[in-house]
Amino acid sequence: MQQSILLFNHIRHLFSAEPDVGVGARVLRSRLLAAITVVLVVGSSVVRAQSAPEGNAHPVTRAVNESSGVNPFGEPAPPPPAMSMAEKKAFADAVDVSPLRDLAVFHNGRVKILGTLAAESLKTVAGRKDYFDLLPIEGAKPKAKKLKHDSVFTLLDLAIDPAYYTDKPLIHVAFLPLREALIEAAVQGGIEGFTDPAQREWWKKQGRLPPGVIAPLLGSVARQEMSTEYQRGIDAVHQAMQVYEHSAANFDMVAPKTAEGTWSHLSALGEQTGAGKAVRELGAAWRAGDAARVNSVITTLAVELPSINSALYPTSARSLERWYNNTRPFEWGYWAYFLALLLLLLSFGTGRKGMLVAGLALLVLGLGLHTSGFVARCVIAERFAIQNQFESMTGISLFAVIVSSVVMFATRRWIFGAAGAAVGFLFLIWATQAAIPGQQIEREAAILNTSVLLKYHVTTVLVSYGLISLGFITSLFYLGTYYAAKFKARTAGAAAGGRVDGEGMVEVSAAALGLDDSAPKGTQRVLADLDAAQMIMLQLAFWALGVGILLGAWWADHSWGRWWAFDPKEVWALVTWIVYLIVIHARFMALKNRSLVTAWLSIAGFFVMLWTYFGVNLLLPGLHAYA
Amino acid sequence: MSRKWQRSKQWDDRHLRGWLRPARFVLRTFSSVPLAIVLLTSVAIYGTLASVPIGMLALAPTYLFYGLTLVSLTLVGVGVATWLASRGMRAASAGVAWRFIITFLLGLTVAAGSVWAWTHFLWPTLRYDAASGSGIQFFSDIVRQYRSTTLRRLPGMEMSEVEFYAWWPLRYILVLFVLNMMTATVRRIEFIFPNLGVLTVHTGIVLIALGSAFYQANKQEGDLLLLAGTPDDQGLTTPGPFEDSFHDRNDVALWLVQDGRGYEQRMLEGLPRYNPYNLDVLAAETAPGGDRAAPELGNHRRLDMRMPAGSRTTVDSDLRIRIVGYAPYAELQPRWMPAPARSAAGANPIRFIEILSAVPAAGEEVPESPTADGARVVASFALAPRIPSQRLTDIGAPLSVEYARTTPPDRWTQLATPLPPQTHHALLITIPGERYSTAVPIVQGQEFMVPGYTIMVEQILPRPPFPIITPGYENAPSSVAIVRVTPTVADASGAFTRYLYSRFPEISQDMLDELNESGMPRRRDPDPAISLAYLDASRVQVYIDEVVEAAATDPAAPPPLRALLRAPGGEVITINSLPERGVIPVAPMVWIRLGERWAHAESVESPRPVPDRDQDRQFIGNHHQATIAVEVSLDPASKSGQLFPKWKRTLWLPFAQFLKLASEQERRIEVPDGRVIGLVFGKKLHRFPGLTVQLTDFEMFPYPHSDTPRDYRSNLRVSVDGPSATYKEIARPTSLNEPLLVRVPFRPRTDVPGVINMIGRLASVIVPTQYKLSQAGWDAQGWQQTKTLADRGEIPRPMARFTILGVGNNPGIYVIATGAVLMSIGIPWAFYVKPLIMRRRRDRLKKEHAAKVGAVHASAPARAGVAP
Repeated sequence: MQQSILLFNHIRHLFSAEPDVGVGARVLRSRLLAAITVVLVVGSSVVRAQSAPEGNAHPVTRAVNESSGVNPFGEPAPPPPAMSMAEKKAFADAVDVSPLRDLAVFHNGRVKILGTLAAESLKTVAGRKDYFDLLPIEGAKPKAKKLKHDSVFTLLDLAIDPAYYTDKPLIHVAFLPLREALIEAAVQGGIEGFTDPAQREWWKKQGRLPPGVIAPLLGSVARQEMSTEYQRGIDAVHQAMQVYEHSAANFDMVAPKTAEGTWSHLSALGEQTGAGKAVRELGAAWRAGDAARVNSVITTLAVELPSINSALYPTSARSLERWYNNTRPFEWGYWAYFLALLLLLLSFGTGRKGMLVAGLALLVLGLGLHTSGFVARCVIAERFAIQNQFESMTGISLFAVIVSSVVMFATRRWIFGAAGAAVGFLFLIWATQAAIPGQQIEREAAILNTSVLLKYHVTTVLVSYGLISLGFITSLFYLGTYYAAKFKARTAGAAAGGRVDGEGMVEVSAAALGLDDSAPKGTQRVLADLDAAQMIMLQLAFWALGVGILLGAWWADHSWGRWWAFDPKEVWALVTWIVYLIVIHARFMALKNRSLVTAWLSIAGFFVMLWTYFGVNLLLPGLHAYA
Repeated sequence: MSRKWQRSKQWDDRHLRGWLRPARFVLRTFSSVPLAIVLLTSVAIYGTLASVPIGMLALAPTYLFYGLTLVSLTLVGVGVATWLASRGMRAASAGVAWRFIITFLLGLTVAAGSVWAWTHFLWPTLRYDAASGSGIQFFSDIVRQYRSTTLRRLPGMEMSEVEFYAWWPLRYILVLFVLNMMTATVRRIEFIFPNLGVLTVHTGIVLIALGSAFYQANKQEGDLLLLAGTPDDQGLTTPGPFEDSFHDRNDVALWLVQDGRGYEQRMLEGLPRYNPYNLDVLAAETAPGGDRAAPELGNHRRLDMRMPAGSRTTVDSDLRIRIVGYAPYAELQPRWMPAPARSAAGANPIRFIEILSAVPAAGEEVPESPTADGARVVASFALAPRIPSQRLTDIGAPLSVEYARTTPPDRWTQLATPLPPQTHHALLITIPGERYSTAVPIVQGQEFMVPGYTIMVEQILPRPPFPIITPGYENAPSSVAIVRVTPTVADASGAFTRYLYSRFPEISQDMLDELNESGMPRRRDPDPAISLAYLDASRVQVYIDEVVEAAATDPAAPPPLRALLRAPGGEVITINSLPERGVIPVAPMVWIRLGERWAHAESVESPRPVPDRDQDRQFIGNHHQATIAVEVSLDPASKSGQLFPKWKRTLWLPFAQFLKLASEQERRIEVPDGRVIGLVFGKKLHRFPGLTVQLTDFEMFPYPHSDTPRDYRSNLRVSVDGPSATYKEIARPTSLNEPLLVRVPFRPRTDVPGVINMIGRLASVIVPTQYKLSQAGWDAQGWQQTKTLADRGEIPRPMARFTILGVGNNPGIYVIATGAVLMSIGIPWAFYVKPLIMRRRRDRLKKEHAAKVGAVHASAPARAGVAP
């Protein structure tokens, strides 16, 4: 096969060596091509095993675009850096990059705005959405003052003046043992700034190391027997270095002439065009530190670029993406949910209606933010945004809050609102603050893109996960009420020598359940209502999960030709469903306390669901690579 | 307890007495809910064991312990804090609301503080570090050993997921569950309208179970490779060949072909999947010392799968086939096997060379007077002097060893030519016409003149610029000097470029400036008017030569040996007579020692297991990277078996994805009587019943503005093959999520009652000879290559050389689907409709009761009035 490829490449080269050919030559060429095709087909060994259907995986993430290697802003100056930290900060403050922030750029398979590209690039390079310099402060211990820079400014600076960053703490080395190994290698290599133990400790705490230190040392810290985490750490640093070294390749900012065409790199702009001149001038002015000229050129560029093939230049989508970036609805959403949960719980405990109203208002606010973020993401991504781990988490929690709100207003049991707020808070803080895959908006797996049925399957399963989470929270309330009452009864009983009904707790939960004053009070009643609430959620979850699994089987039969493959994800979805099947049937058994067993099974079911949702995806190989 | 259940139990008590008591016990057991829960739990545990590695399961107690420490700390902290706060506030007579707010917020704060304290103080101590062994991890040996091994992967099990789930334990559990459910349904649930939901759900589950059993028994699933046709004159794709068969996705087979009679398929049932067996099956016959396969896990496990001939075998029945070894994930590498030489001229001698080192390891002291006797063997390899590509080896960059046989005197003289100090590369130039001979140190880019020529050193390369393809020299390593030779006299031939291989002067060639008909530079043998040899003196080169007399007839007799050591910089040491086991010092504390010599050896392939970290997980357990050892022998009772009673041959076979493209994976065995057997290891082949499939076109649809595939479409033509009229001709595309269905159309008969036709119509949808063809794979490489041509306008559009379709027959899927629908509508009925009906009934009964009571009360005075 290797020979076949060589032959193919060789003849392809021959074709390319004939710039001007007539029809006869073209026919001859076609015949040759036919012969090549036969050779390749007969001798081919590239027909590789198909353990999963094609289109099953997410498109490969490309942090750096393929490019000609030409820097559109001109060749950067070599080290040492031309500017000091203070000078760079002054220059950054004087430059206004905001007109560039919402210009369109094609990167990693979609058109996005430059602000998004900047944040994503810096996240890859520095592990955060913006960069700051560390200006040393004189003293006994190494200390530094943070000088923050705008992310778009840093993105441009990396392309125009990369030499500045060679000795700056730029590259995020998240995995501590790898960071320690790099620092140790720097010490062994006698690199300046790493010799003093205090300096070493300082670098260790920063979490970021200079690219000029990493570049020569990264190969030396690879080990024969590396753990998966260590290997991942090295891969991440490699990628960060790639972006640092080749960020200029990512400026595909010239709209195509046709809808099928590709976006062009800034370096492809003619020198005589307005935009082409502006790009080159921007590089020159930037290197000269001339902020006024830079601002003038930026203004020109912000007008010129959208005017090229303007019919295909995106407009409203850019504004929405900018709003999405600036507003950060999911972050604000979890704060609103948290406060709503806090106020609702306090209102249940105190019986203060004001707190209840405020809690409900915050819940609605959280839901509004959450929904707007979700919808904005769907519009920006041009798809139903539930197709990676991050999106499914925002989706699960959104569905859970919607369902809980509907049930809450329908039944006037405010406990559902608290459960919804808790689920919304937990999932959103988890999705946004932990390193959950899929935070960046990317293209989905082809298999997901081409099926409506699959969207129903995924959505139904996610709704069921949301309901399971609501059931879990409600069961927690049940268990809390049950054991608190029991504890209170024991302690009070021990003190009084008799049985106490746990009156305080009854009041708390009665308010939560929205019981009117005329309703009979008592722990048993409260627990019975909480049990009814958890059963509402668990029954809905059981149904939704069952339907979701069957929709998945239908889709699998339709698309893959088999309805059930015993893929780990399928098996664990079934195991999760079986847990709730047991919950349903345990209600028919002669148990001492069915509600308590249900609550504990609900807790167990939630953790089984979490394993199905996260553990199976991350730890067990299978067909659901896109999940 | 339902009334029906009470009636059922009363019936049991009345009828199942005495010796029928066991039947009552069984009936009650199968009517019980706890049995259902036990069986469901068993299914969940079975699924866990099937999908989660043992090492991960062994981690559960550890993580449970970690979790308990966190929860305990938090609960204790929160409990103590809130209790104290509560007592304090009670003492201060605080109101209930304030007590709650303060207690709640305090509890929240203490919980957060407990988590923080656990993370910062306890977790660093608890966390297990595999490198140092610090921290806590229960069953760490099991965790390490079975990190990625599920139960079904253990030796003795060796099952795929599907096989494990089809294994008898789960079958019994599911059968028991269905029996349990049916019994409980009949004996406990009233067959009344409100119970329609649960009855529907249970009926659905029974249907799914029945459908699954039918499905399991008749399921076929595999991959169909469809080749594209050759492009036409316009460069457009033409329809490819018709295919009438597809490969199974799970079952494997051994393919045998004898003397061009066509392939015969023998099933490899029970072949391992995950563990190595008898990897050293060739060890007794192969090279000793360092060339022997490293002892691998599983070498001790034996395998003996006999492959008897079937009734319609195309291979002679006296040939006995056994599978004697299995490597689940390995690469085949060549090894030498000693064999008796048929003649001295045809012998392929082998010499083993050892590298000895006295260089101290880390922490050891440098020996005062190191000798080869006290040195350790750090490497060992075999060289075959009669095969140019096999007679030399590079030991890293600084040292290479060549072991030749009867080196021509001229060549030996060239190699022994000393060079000026500090010379790293040199040309030995001889111009016979001028009686001119010299050695010239060279560097890249150097130009100099010799009588009649100007010589320009264009390039000095450590490796050939493209692999050598001359037979016998394939892919051999050699440094190369590329020199431009330009005659300076008018009547000489034109300028040319000569490729000079330092190792192989005999294959040097002149490249002329004129082009041949293919547009490539014309080549010729080196011009004898100027002889050039390139000496690479940039590193240590050891040359050992067997000086064999022309009349020698005994291939086993060790010939005299001589050696040359060329040190970097031009110095040469000559050893005119090197004894057997002789030692040549090549560097301080490093020696080369002659090892064993075999008079004749043949090359065989043996598997080199790929380390776990380099394995692609998607190829584990499906044989795609596996090799099997096949032993072929003769039936002792047969004529050939009596002629060659001890003959047997074992070889390792790599996996072939598709039989049609298995030319690289096919191996041949020559029987001493002249018969030749071809062997291929691949997936079982299924033949379509009376239909063929053809690829007429293929297209990939990318995402906007990119080459990333969004969808693939194969245009297919399904044709009826032969006289069968079962299928209809179809010409339709298939793409992602849009499979092509090949159905068996129902043809009603006029000579049977309508009900028979109705049953026939229903049965026609579940027959196992209907196929679904779905897009499963494509030729990404070919598409990308031709797209480059298309982008340059050289061909009209990109094309693929093949497409891969998933094939499934899905028997009984509609039965399963019906069960699924029943379940989906039965659950909400049971949960929401039934309570509604019951509530209405209760309300109605209440009303009726109230009305009745009201009527009684209303009539009471009248009655009283009438009462006497």
